[in-house]
Amino acid sequence: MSSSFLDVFYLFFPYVSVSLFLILSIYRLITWFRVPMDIKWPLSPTPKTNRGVVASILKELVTFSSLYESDDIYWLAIIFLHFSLIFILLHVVSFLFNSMLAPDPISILRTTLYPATKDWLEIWTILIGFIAITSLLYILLRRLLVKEVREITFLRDYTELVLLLVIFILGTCMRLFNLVSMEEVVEYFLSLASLNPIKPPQNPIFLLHCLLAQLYIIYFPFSRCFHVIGYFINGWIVRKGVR
Amino acid sequence: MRLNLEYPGQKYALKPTLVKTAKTLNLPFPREWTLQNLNLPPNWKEIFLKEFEKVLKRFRSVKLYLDICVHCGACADKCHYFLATLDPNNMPVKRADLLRDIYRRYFTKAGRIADKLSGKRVELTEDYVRKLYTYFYQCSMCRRCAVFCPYGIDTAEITMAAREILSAIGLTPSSLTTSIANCEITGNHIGMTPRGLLNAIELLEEEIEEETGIRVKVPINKKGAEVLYVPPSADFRPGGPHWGTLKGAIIFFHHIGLDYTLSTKASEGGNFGTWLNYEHMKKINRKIYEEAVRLGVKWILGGECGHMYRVAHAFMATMNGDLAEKLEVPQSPFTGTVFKNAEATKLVHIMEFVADLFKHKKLDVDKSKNDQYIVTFSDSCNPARVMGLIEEPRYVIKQVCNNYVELDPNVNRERTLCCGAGGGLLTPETLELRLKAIKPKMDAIKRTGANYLALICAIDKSVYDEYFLHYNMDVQVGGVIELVGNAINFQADNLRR
Repeated sequence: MSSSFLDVFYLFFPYVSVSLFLILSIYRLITWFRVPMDIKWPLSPTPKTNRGVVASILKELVTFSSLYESDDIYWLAIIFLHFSLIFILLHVVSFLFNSMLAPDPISILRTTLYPATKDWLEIWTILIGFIAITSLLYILLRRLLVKEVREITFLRDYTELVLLLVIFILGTCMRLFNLVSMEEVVEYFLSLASLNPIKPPQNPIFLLHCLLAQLYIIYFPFSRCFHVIGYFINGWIVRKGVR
Repeated sequence: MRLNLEYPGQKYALKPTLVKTAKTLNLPFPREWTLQNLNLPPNWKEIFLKEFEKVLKRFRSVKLYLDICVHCGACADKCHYFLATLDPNNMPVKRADLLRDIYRRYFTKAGRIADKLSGKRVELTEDYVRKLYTYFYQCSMCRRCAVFCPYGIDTAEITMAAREILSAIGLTPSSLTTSIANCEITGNHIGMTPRGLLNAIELLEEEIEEETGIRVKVPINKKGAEVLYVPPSADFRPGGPHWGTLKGAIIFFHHIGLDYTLSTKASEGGNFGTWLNYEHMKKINRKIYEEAVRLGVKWILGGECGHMYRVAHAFMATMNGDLAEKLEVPQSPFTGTVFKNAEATKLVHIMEFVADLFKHKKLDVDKSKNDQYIVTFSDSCNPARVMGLIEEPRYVIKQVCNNYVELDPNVNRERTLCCGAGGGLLTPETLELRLKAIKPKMDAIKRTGANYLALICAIDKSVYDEYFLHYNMDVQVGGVIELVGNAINFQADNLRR
């Protein structure tokens, strides 16, 4: 009885989580854009052209330069964390595109970022997983041990960090001990994308990892992590000078 | 860094507004109150939340800043008031949190749920409002924290929003409201009447004749002049560190033959209303433009005042754009340069104007007249971080001085340390706080070995004079235009065709 409930759950829950993620994110964006910009107050020195503003936003995105000037070790951890997040995101998203459309940008990126042999891909994901876990641990410890930062950290920050940490640990374990083969995962994802879902691989670690990741993306629009999108809007407001 | 959990910032809270000042300015709920007994009106919670809602519906930036902060702590040790007091509430992130907690508790669904689940109850009580008053009037709105924030979250905008809400329930400090009342009734923040101004100008003309042998006649309230010159009113005080700035400017204008006029109505470039709420900021700014339209000038030349440019550069076009349309786009009559950045505001900074003249090699100066000074320049927060006026003053100084030393860029340029007295904090009760906060900059000035500190902000000039006295440093404080006035070979109407 319970196993059939779990099967049914994993057949429809991914659709629920992805739709909630999209709907809630768009809702949040609308609540921001509904408010007008009454007074435009840029932070000088600002770039002189719109192209300059975009370039400045992208530069900050890639190098986190203002954080570097504040605290260099933290900057290193943040860079590692964000880049490993991007790689893992691309890795997971590439499951959806594998052998559906060819050639497509994601798989090209995947074959250039990770050489095409399967073993190297596995080693690479494990490495990225370890880097992400180390940087998350550093950030968590910084929040616990440094007095100033503990003063400004609340339950919300701890839960989000721990959630991300657990998701990464489970994922790395999966790949490290080869608990689930990548073909099964790809098959499952492709079946979801083609709206013809099949039963997921029955490994409990995989199921837990999936569940936590889906809870995370449902919570994402209200978490601190939504700063990813707010960064661009804020960056434009702060840099676009009054002409 | 150790945090001082006794919250020492509380002893620097600003004194409350006097009843008669509140009545003069039509502020809500004029009444006697002290910091211990706020004496709030009975429906203050409703008014607070209604005003907060109005602010949230008006400024996308404020809503974003309250939503986006991830509490990374990069801004924490950048605020000079935090470094002076080590009070946790002076960290920009916690200062913004004082407002953010109310926002999340009352205005977001997630926040209301989280408040019930977690143990941390945020209640809008009188104690909480006292904290809001204390700490949001301990931010000088200098925006240094925004430079280091990865997203550029601007605590100054959050402070403006908080002060707007606080003034709606009748909590305002007397340091601001007295000056604003002076400005709205007499015409300028120091309360100098038109007759007083005329006397000061007469004294200035006599001094110029003594020093240079040329008698100038300063036009006042002259209709149909090309330019209206609006200095900060502190410049009109004889004998202070600002007096040299006015003298240098007048000598300079007569040397080049600029068709300008002063005005007794628009005798104030500064705008203390910026630091209180939107209504008063608009009123005081409007005065300058009304006068410019009445006198029929083409454009406005602003003196060495810092926050005048914040108001003009960032806010003016929204607030008083309808009046500014009646003026013309500023164009230098001697070089033909059109100041396109002032297309909407019609207000040009004197440094831009002078730098333009130097660039076109229109001025004949003798640098050796400033040889007794070793000059260093300290960026003021508003010209540097809101206007981007970083290179022009340095360029002008290098054109008129032989000995220029650059200050340590960690406390200068975009990262400049605020003088500590903006935002309404120029009062005797904050002197100790400000003296502690300015220490890094004093050390940097000492390291350069300078004996003249050039500044383009009137508040800076007043307070640095006092700080040098307390720090026992023998450094003269003055304006950049003063150095220009010293160096030019003064003959009248030199550039007028």
